[in-house]
Amino acid sequence: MKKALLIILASAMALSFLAGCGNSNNQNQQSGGSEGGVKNPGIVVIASDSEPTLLDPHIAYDPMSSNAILQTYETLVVYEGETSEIVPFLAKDWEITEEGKVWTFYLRDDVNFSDGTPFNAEAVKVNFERILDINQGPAWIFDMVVDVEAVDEFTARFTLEYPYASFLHGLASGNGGVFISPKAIHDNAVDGDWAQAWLRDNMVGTGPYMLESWVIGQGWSMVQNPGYWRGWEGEHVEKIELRVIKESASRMLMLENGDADFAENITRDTLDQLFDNPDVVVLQKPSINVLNICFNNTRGALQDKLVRQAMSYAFSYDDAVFGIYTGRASYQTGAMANGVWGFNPSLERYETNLEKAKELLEQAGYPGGGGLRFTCQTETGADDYGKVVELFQSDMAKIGITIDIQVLSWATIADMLQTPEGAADMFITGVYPDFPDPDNALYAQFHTSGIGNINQSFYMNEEVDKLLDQARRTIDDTEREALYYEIQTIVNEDAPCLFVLVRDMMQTYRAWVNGYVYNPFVTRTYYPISK
Amino acid sequence: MVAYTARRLMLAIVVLIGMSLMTFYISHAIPGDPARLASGAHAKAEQVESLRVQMGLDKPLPVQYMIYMKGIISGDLGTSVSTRRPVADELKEYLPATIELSVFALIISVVAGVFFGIVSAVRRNSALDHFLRVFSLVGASIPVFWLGLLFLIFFYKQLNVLPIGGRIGIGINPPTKATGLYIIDSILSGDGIALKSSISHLVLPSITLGYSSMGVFTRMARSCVLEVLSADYIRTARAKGLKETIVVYKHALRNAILPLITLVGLQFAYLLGGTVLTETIFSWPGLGSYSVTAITNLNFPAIMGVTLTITTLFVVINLITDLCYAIADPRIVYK
Amino acid sequence: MEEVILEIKDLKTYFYSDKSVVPAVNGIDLLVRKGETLGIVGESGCGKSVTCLSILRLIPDPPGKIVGGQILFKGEDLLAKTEAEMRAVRGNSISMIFQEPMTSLNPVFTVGDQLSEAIRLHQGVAKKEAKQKAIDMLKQVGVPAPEQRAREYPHQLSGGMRQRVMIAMAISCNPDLLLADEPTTALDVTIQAQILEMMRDLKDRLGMAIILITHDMGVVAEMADQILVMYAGKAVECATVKTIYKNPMHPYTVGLLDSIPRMDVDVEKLHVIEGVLPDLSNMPEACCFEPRCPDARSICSQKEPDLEQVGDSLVRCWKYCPEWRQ
Repeated sequence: MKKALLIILASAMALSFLAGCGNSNNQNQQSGGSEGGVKNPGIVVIASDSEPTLLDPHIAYDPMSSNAILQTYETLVVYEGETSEIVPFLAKDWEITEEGKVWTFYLRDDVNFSDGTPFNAEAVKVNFERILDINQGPAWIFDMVVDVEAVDEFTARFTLEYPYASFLHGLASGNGGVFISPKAIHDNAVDGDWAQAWLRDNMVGTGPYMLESWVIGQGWSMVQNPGYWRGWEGEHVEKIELRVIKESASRMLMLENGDADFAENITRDTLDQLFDNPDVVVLQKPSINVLNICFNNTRGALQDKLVRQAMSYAFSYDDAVFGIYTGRASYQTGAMANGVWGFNPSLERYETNLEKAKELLEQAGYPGGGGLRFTCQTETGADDYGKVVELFQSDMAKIGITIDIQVLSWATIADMLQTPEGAADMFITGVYPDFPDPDNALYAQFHTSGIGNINQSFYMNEEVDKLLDQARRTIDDTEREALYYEIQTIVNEDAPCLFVLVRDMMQTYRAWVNGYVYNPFVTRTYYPISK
Repeated sequence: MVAYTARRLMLAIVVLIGMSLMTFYISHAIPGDPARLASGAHAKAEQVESLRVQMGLDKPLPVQYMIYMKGIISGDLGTSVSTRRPVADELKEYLPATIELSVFALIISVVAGVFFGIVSAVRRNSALDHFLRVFSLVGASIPVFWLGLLFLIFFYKQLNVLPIGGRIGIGINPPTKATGLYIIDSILSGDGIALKSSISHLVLPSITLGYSSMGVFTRMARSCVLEVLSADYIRTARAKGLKETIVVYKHALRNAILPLITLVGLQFAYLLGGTVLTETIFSWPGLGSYSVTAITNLNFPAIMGVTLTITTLFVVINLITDLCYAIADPRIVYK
Repeated sequence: MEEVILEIKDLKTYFYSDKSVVPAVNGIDLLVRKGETLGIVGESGCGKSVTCLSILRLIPDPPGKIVGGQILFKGEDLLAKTEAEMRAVRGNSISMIFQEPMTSLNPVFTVGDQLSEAIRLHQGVAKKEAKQKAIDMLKQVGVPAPEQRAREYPHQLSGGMRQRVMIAMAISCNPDLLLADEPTTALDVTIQAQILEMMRDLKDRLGMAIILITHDMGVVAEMADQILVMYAGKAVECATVKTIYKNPMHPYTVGLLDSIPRMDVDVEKLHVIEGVLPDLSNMPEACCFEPRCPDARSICSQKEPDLEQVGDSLVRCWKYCPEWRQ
């Protein structure tokens, strides 16, 4: 028995060494063959720290799922290049009637799903019925849709509950508003589940790539859809492969070695090493991803606008932007990032001013801090948040306010945030709008109806509620802009949150990648990319 | 032995039920609403509520537990809250990865550890002995994370002979699934490319993980062999005219291995549960990373699934260890 | 005269530790002829076992080392042999049985496996044949149901049975010389007698020489032709059994003999040799038995006596030297 065991062990060892050597030869040949050239030609490899949670585009609502989904599923309209300008895509043209309540889309007639069935108005209807019926994840973006109708084969008409100006943005964002082959939905449905179980791991869309495999925990790969309507003229990659690489340091090594073409989420403090590398591009672009410390506006002294303002004046923004975020962030003015349409440029930013802060506290009846003491929550695992909260703590101490830091799992914090009574005094959070429209950036965050939801500072201002409702129903952009300017001014004055900063988007990729265009509002697609 | 095994298995079921009760209670006692978390930040109350009903979270805890246990009997471990996939299906993906990694790590740590231990014992107090003892001590005390990164920088970045992580190379499809262990599957399907690639992906993680637990074996093997080498029957074996290698590797090792068997069982269980860091650094899609994600997402069914799986493995490994002990040592008879 | 099987000349085996050197065997000479039994007697720690282990070169090194002398086995010096040559001798032409049958067999292999191991090694026979031979050997040493016993593990056998197995193992290759290190000490008296009887029988049948180590004067009387009395690593007296029993010369031998109960003489109390073995690592230049010797005189503590021929015996004692009377 022992002998047998020994033989097994010995052969296993031998095998592993053999394979190790064999592999090394293999790799040497590969790198030898591609000296100075492109590694893995024809495949774009993404080294990512996470993978999709699921591939059902009507349920998935997280960046990594979108990253896969938007290679296979397409939207009616898209953002042009790097801009927030919306241009036709699966819809050739559209029309807004009845003061913004009815939207008619004229569809392309040359689009097929990868299973060969045509994309048409019926498909649009079925898909929107599916989103609204399942009613999860991104469905909220379309909850004003009352009816979708196939007027003729290539004309789809949406009827909304109220005029909704940013409906088009919702469609362009790629969150939910994409189309699955109705045949696939029908064929794979089990007990009227809209094929939810099947579409979790399978994809049938109109897009340029088709899912080849998804090995959970390891990543997915996609291959070209030969019948893609935009065709395969010009330079494109044959395959996209996403590899889950948990460690930032490993992703960086892969990028440096050329095994990865895109490396996601490289930690900020190691990025500097990449700047001198001619083979790697480090792209730094402003994003619309803001960082707030949300005050519980219903709690004790925090109900007082003056106290909130005082705290906003006492925070050292420079240390946050240039110290903690090493300059890979910018100042935030008001509740919305500068890049979102409708940003009010005349807004005044809270700049660090301790004298003013102390003055405001005194006015509010808390001279020298008045023994104010608050608990601020931050989530486990988010190092930057922790650092910002510590900075906040020491800044507040300067005006006599004591901050107790509480580190909890996001799940726990989120649970507490469901009611103002259960929530802590304040907590730190990142807010990333789904699309660059002030309705998305502001409505859920500051409308009373968002309590128990995204209005996590429990901010209630009737005036703001009224203006937000009015703005979302206004179709004329000039009118809307004026309304949003006003809303921003009020919210900024009320300081329901401490607006910390806007984080920059950092993207690292190989210099041999061509055709990559960064758009801050949507997940990138790999169709225009080659290497 | 059959009666003994049966009795042990009965006991295992009791352990598992107790374990499931505890995990179920603890994970549900943590503040946090998985339905809320799963339905996303923008979800409205009724959306969350419908998902809660769908996930069965609206029922009282004992009822939820009963439903869960009923499911287990038919192999249903519930549905993952975040991915909406059956937990059993996910475990089928993650568990083999962890088993493959732990088994290889175990083989490395046992083979190397025991061999070093024997050499140390046979050459005790020599320079080699001291070197090996320090070497294995370093393995036990060096942080896995640091060692893994060091390996990657050296073997991946500098030499470029071994891959950065994952289970299989870029552009290579995993072998046809039979056991989920890539090495076995690729042998079964005769897929040479997958075999080569999966072995080369296993080398660094299993050495990293194995090295950390090797020291225990070296130390134990050294002291056991030393003890055995002074035994009378070793003198008898030598007096027979046997070669020293046969004396050491047959007569001594077979006896010294007895206490090592228990250690192997314990270490295997330890490795299975302790792969998180290695899995993270080498992007190894195993139970470790799965459970970490499950805990951050309050994914109760996944947490339960992982706990029960690990517990089951623990119990089974322990039983196998004890049975192996009986096979290896004729003096032990289980009744 | 029968041919000489083993001759040891001035054997010195020392044990080294950090602080001291212990001369466990310090200049032993002995001679064994074919078919003869040499009994080595002496108390525990006097170097009997070390002498035997030195013959097989099984002294654990470190700490032990054979530092001098010759061990001539059938005329060849064993100390000059290579390790591989030595292995061909061990268990083959010289074999050994040990004091502790309970621990001298490997607990994890069957009796049959352990027996056939040596047979296969030295006789180059096939596994099956070796197994059969092993069963034959068990039969020879009087193990009942040998086929079944061969399949059993040592822990399933009694002490006496195990010693029979050890003997079977030792004689399985027809050795010229059998080293028996206290083979019966750990056994019941009735079993002792059976084992001794069997050994004598085997010796006669196989014509081998035996070196029998014991501290039991009764056992040597029954078994041995020649007796070597050792004390503190040295021979103190050497003669035939008859001579020694009739006329013990060294005070230590006398003490040993007096300590056996005898049927023919009525004594109130058994004789006891007072004192303990001296510390070997720190021996004075003197007779090593001097501190315990009832006859000691001043000369005994000044110089060490040599081993001299006195009558039919070789004795190491000042009593028989001319200096004694001075």
